[in-house]
Amino acid sequence: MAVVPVVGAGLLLLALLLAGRGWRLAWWGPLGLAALVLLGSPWWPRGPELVEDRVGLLADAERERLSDYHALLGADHGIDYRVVIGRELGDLDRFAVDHFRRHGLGAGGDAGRGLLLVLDVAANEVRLEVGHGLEAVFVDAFVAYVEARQMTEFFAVGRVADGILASTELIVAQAETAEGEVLPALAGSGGAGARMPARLGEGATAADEAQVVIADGATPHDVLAAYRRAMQQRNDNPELAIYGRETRRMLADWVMTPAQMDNMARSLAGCPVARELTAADARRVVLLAPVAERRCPPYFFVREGEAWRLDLAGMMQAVRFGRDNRWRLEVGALGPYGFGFEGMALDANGYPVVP
Amino acid sequence: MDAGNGKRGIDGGIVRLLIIVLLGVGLISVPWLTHSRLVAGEEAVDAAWADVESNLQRRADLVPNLVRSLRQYMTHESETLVRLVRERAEALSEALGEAHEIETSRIAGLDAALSQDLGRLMRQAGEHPDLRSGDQFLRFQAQLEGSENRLNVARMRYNEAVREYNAGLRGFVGRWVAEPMGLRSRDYFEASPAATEPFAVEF
Repeated sequence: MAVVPVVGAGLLLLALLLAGRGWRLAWWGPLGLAALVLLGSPWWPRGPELVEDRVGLLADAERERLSDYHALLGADHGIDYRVVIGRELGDLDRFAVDHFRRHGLGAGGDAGRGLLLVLDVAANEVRLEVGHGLEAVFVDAFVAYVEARQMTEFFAVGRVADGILASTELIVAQAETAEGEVLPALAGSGGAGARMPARLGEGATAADEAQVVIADGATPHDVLAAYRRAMQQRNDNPELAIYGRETRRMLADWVMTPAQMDNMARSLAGCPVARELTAADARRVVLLAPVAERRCPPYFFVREGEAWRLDLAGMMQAVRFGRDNRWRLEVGALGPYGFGFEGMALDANGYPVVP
Repeated sequence: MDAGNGKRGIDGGIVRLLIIVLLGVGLISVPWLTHSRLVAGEEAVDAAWADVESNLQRRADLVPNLVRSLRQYMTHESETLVRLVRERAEALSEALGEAHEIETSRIAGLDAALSQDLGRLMRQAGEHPDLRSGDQFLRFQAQLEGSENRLNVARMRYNEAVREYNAGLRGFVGRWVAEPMGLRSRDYFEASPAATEPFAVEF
């Protein structure tokens, strides 16, 4: 809607120009149009509201962040993903189907690619309804997994917006694996999806207390392998022996969901280590996957005492992921790990240039 | 004066002709349009029933895999329930495959019985701690609940289509058009009270 004041200002200027040239009748036209544009803009039809928060659960900034992210999901993957947060919505399954139909989710084009997340704060239930065109991509089991193993983990500690965003990342990843020919489908939904307890106000679940077993003199490769085992076992203990001091401090307040750990385990299983780079003082190491593996991030290690530890805190500062889950570098935040990327060609956004 | 009398005669004749033509058009078009609407309504009912059948079959097809996977977690006492669920799913599949005319009441009854016993089976399975905490149970639960919900939506839409169609048949013109055209009212998809009676299982 930023175009409205620009267009209005342009028309006003045109009117003034015509009046200055003595075109007294002609300048009424642009003046009238300018008035119509500037004064009538509040009544112009707007696009659909992507995040409808009927109970004020989300802060304005959170709602805007979610709306922006879901708009990008629409632009990148043609998925119309909307959120409704309400109270006492009745039968959530019925509400979702009716809302889908009434608001024409996914009705653009003929692909029926709509998603609707409904959260009832009074019933403490959440449902993700899947449109006809996406049923083959987001099967019921996947939706239940996203809700139970990712989304509601955040809901339990009061981070509703973060939970929705975190689940959208899984949705994006799944959409990318299924990218291909878009088959025509009916608009609307037929009851596909899943409903789960939302776990609002439940509080954080107690972290695992199991430790990882790692031999004395373990190399960074061994530590990475131990980390992969911990993620496979969904060990969310923030005090694992393989974590550095800063990493343990960071993870103490971290929401580590089962889905994130599964994702990490899969990533580690599918990402080979191509190079090991050691700092000049031999106290830091970077393990790099082949640059062409754009979804395989680098891993940082720091030597504390006589043992190598995983420095996830350092990685969080320096390694970021785009919407397509490809990693990039925040060059200014590399700190002591810059040695690992000397000579690596990066684009303006910090994405490695694949030779 | 003669010209004026002649003009009034012509006007009267034209008006009468117009009335006759309009009556004729009405007598033909109203039943024809009503018949078209009723036929479209019947097609909508058939399409909605096809959706119901497809969802019933989908759920019945889930049962063998579910039973096989849950067996290792079930106690000996649950074996009867497992067999009952399997038998009910097979009976429903057979009914869907054999029905030449839509026997909605019978199928609704079989469906209600299967739903009831599946619910009991999942509740019993959920009491097993190893199964309940794992993703496998989450997957089973999601697949079954997803099927149930799809079936509920399909059933609701089928009943809506039947309601509109049956209302058309009972309309002022519809009742005269339906009988000679062989259009009959359709049953709602509702289980009879006998649907929850014990199902005879042979071992």
